[in-house]
Amino acid sequence: MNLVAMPILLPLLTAIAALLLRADTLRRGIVIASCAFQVIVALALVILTARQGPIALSIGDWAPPFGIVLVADLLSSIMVALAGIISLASIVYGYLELPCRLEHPLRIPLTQFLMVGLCQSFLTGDLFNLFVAFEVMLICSYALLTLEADDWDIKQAFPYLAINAVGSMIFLAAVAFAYGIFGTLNFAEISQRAAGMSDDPRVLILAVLLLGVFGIKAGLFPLYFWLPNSYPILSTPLAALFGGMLTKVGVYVLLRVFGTVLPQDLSGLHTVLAWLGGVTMLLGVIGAVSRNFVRGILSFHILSQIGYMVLAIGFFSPYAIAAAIFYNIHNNLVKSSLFLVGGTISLLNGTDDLKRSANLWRATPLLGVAFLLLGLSLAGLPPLSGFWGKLMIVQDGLRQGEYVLIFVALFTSIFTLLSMMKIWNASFWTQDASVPVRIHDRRWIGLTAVTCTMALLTVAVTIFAGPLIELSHQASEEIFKRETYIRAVLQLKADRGGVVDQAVSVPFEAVSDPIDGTSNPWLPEVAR
Amino acid sequence: MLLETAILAGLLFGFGIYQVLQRSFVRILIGFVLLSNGANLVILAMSGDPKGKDSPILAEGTGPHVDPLPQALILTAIVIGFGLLSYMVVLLYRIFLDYRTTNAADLFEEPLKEAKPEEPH
Amino acid sequence: MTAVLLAAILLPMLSVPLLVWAGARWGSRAGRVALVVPLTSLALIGWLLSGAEAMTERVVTIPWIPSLGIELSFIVDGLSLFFGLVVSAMGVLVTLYASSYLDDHYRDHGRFYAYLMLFMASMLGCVFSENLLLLFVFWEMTGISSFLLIGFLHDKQDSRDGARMALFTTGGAGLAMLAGVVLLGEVTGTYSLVALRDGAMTQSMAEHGASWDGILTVAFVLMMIGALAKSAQFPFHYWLPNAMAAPTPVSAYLHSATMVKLGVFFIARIFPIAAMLEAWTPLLVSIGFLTMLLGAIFALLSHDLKGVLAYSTVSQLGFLVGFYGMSNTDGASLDLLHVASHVFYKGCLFMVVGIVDHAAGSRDLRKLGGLSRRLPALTIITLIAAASMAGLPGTMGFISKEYMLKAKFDHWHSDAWLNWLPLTLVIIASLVKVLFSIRLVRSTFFGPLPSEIDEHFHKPSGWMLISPAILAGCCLTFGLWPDLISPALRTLSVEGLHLETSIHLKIWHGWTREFWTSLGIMGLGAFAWLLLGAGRLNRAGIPSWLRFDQAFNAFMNAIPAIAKKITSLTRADRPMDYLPIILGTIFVSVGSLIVVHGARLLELTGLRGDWRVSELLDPLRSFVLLLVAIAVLMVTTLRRWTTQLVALGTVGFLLTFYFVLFRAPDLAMTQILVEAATLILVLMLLSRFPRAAETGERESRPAATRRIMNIVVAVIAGLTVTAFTFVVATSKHAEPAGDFYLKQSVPAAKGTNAVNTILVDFRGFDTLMEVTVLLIATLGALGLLMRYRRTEAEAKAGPMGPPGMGVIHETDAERERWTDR
Repeated sequence: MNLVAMPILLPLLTAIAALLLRADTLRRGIVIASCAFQVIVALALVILTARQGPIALSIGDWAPPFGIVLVADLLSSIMVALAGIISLASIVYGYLELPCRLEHPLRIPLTQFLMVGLCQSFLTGDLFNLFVAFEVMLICSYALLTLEADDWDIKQAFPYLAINAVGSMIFLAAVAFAYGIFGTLNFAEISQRAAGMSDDPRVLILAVLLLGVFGIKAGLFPLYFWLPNSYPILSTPLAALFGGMLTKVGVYVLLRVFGTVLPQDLSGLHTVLAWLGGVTMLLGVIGAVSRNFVRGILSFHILSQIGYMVLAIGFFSPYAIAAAIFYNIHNNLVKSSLFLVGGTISLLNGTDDLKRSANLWRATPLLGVAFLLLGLSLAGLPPLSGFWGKLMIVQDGLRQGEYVLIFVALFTSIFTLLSMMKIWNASFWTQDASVPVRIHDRRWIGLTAVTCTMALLTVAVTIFAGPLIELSHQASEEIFKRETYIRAVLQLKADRGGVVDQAVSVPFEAVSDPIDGTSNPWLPEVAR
Repeated sequence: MLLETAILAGLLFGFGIYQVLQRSFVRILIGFVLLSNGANLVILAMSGDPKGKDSPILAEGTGPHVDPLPQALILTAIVIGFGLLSYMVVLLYRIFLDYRTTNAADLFEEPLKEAKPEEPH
Repeated sequence: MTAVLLAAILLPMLSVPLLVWAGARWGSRAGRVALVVPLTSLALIGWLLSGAEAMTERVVTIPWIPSLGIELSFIVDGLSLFFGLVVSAMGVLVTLYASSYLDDHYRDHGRFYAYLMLFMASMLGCVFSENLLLLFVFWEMTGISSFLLIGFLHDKQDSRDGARMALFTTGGAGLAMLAGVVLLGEVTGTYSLVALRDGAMTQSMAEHGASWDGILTVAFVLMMIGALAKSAQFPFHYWLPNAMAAPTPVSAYLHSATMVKLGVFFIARIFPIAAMLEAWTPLLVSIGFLTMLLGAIFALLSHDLKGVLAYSTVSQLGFLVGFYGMSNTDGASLDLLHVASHVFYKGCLFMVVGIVDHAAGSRDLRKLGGLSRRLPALTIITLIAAASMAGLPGTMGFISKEYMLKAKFDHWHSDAWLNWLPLTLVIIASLVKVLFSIRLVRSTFFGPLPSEIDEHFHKPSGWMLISPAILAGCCLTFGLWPDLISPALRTLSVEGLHLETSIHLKIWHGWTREFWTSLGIMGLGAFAWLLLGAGRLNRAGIPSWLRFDQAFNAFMNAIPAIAKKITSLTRADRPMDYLPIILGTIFVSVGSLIVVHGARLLELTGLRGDWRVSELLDPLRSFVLLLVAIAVLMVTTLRRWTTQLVALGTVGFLLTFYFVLFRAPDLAMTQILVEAATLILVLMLLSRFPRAAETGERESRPAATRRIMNIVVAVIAGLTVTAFTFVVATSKHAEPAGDFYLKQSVPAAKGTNAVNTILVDFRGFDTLMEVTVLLIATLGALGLLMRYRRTEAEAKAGPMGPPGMGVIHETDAERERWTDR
């Protein structure tokens, strides 16, 4: 069984198993074991792709571009690994928060299906398959959004649903247009066919359409309105999963489509992307400052951080893309951990309203330290991981002379700090005897343990920032030099050491006489 | 043939979007159905002019065939759309149960206050 | 040597968790334990100093993240050794002081010493850094640790506010510094200070000419913003007095001796590379001396003992900044002397204030008095330190002032304003300094002893006096025998920063200009005191228009409200406005692109110039099109749900027919089935709604503008889709993938229906996922309908709350709301 399919297959099987079992400790054990295994598989994938380049798997053994291809290059593997880690943390947190009896039996299956959709989006090499992956993800998210929401919150699901449903339909149309323009749905082949077409207005229009759709998914201005009001209704573990991963799919897809698939000289569009990122960043942080509930604040910060990453993508140089990738790694972990902290705060104080939260520094200094590390990392204070990402973006921005955008980025950074300090001051440093701290509710110990583990993980990212940045550079290079990707997919002669392994399907033998009797035109020989 | 399809797709999209922008949930639902159909037609248009071609069933004696891929894509899209639609319908029902209204504007009349209407804890 | 250096910096950092544990274990006695750490660092740095006879600078480099330009590179030279000594020595003294100051009234001792050591490590890292980015990393770390220290007594609101103000101001300015540093790095190609000094800077200026000089100046100004904010210069001076909410040992350490000196240190550090810029002198001189005067005046008008000291620190730092500003290209001399002198007397005075506060319970000058009777030893210490502050002969402060004036008189600048302005400001500021020094001593130790103070007097422990005594001793010793310090200053001079002069310090130079000036200052100062007197000063206060900190706090409080306004302006709070904006944006951008590239697109479709619409349309299909159009129109205009649905169904079935015309039998079949299922589902559900729901639906028309906007968006969407679909469909790619499937369907997939084989075989994965979507939709619908409950009783009791909260009991208001709408 090839490694590339595992991240999709494992959650699928786990979800079905979870559906069939009752919600008790046996099921919990199976799910956690499976999630841990998923993480291991994902990390193995990262190591493998770091060593030998992109790995492609053709599903059903049909040669691309006719069968569907799963491609794991370094970027995809990194995203899958992050998804696995955050999913594991979120599930463990959820288990510690609720006893078996109160757990909603459908939550775990839906979460696992969400993982299927996530990993499929990251690994697929086919545009329509991407659409289907999005649909799987989206409908899981709709279901999860409303699963345990309180009655008075259900209505928040509506804007989310409406916007994303319409977005899906537009995506479908865009996929159709892509097929019409390029004649194929396979990323690698589109990449080849599109290579000379950057002045073709159809490609430009398609790019704008895709930008719109992925912007909705990612939370880009002015398409982000569904996010800040719908995420706060989620329970903590789901909020961590959604906030940590779901929006990042949009960022990943932007990287993939604009990096690997579409021609790389759509510079006007890149500028638009950068500016949209800048505005999103600003409005996101302003929104965060205006809120008083931890979850509301963090939801807006998601937007702000997305802005950073899209800004980096918009700068569109190998260095900037590496910055975006590293920022992604840092941000996914930090963001989801912050949501977990928020959940623990609301468990201890009974609410996540900052005005009614206090006394936590004395009560749980460990949680405070975790929050401090995470909050300062988000704000980009050295020597924590957020700083390195920010530094890379600032360096590349100043290199390219984008002074206004860098000013906006730094301005956002100080306000992010302000926002984190607000939470710190209110929940941790304030001593108010009238605010209860439910230490007697023993769940907080387990939750704090999970949160601190995640915080330690972000510290590990800080310590190993060097190697991780090198990894990001490698992933960025793979995107810019698409040949490795294309070659892996089209099974070309591997002249870069060890690009394809046995998993890549051999050229399809059963083909009857090709059209003109010479070499099979469906498997073009392209020597790079 | 293609012009009609294009016009049809555009028609459905236009009206679909108009409906989606309405206040009543049922209209929004209807809008979504129209949009879904419109998107399907866009895919269909990509298979080219069917004049003089046969359906993609490869029986003996059939001549040039229509491109089958868009059709397959549409089939998948129809089913996915149906799944989505059924979920939306149940959501509509649930919202009605909770709020006793099917008018989106009523629900979101005031700008969303940050605080929930009451704190249970 | 690498090991020694790294140990000196890292040991304090590593000791942090140990100290926390020690605090938990031993409480207030953890201070004694903590003393080990700064002592070790001091010893290590002293060792480094001793190994430096030849005083060549040494650079240690460990690569870190080369692609970013940052390395762990440290430089051991006079400047870094000097500051390293100051930081660690003061660290020892402050820890000693704190171990008796923080008695059992305080909590979290371990954390205090942990923060302190973290701060010390960051400071040491900063002063020894050779790589600008590394310096910045440590710079910000000092900011964080100072935040934690200022907010140590976090129960109090003003501690939290002071900490926030400090962090925000220095952090915000720090971002400007980051921009400056990165700009410098990008322009010159290196972040290494040694490389910059040894030519990279001048080389880059030479290579790129005037425009880059502008960029370098911008980078310099940005870096200065960061440095000046750290040293609390105007206009960033407001954070320092508010940081006085910190416990006194913190103020003695951070806000007199170390952290605020960082800005000045940074100026000294980049002196060799930036002093040649034109902006150097004007910027530093103007801000420095202005701050000096302002600080002195504020110190005079301040009533809080710590405030006086804080403002006077600001003033002295302003002097140092201006001093460096004036010392341009020749180099500075004896700057380290001034720094040392300030450290001695200011650190001492802060500690004294802490003891007074501890003993008398108040820091307000208006309320204190007559403590000399109770605290004689302390009075003497204070007199010495205050004399040094005022610059009286016999103290180090006098030496420092003399040499400073001498430097000014000796290096008479060519620009007139650079001579008279600083001189005047220095003289006035020194005058004011004499004044507030007198006031400080007089109002605290002499005069009548107020009865409240007498009652609550708490004799401080003798241990607390050790550190201030040592510092005062230094003031006196080096004041009387200044030549003792000369060899140290000689060893510590840095190439590129310091003038090449031999240093022999003497008290008496003869009846020089500077001597007369000093005499004049002291005399005038005494005279002014007699004029003004304590009373009038007690009634004065800092004018509110200069109270930047109040402005800052007001700004901080206003931010959330402003943010709310902006957020609501951008419509993030109104769901009904989202969708038109989103859809409008997408379709308008796509539509405008279509229009812009219209000609080219038309060309691509291959239509000749003389086409007519009728050529393109087929009668049967057009008829179907018409029918669909009518049906869709009916959907839009009809009012009853059932009729709308019938119209919708008609659309669906007409499309089925259209599919047949398009040679897609499978499609047609599926469409019929799905259409039927949809109708059944929706009708079934809608039938459960009471009639009232439908008619009661407020079909109140939205505002006219809204309707028009909706129509416009819809029309644009429709036209865009039509146009683009037509263009793409007629200009299809020549080799679509579909051909392969047609060819291979029978031989490879063994099926005659190409669509089927695609779905089931070639692209079976899509189908698998599509089925999954259906499954998930079912689960989602199930979840919606489940209204998840566990027991009958709980179900009766009410809806479930957030997970773990169990059942919520509805209040009457809620029940009312949910039941009759």
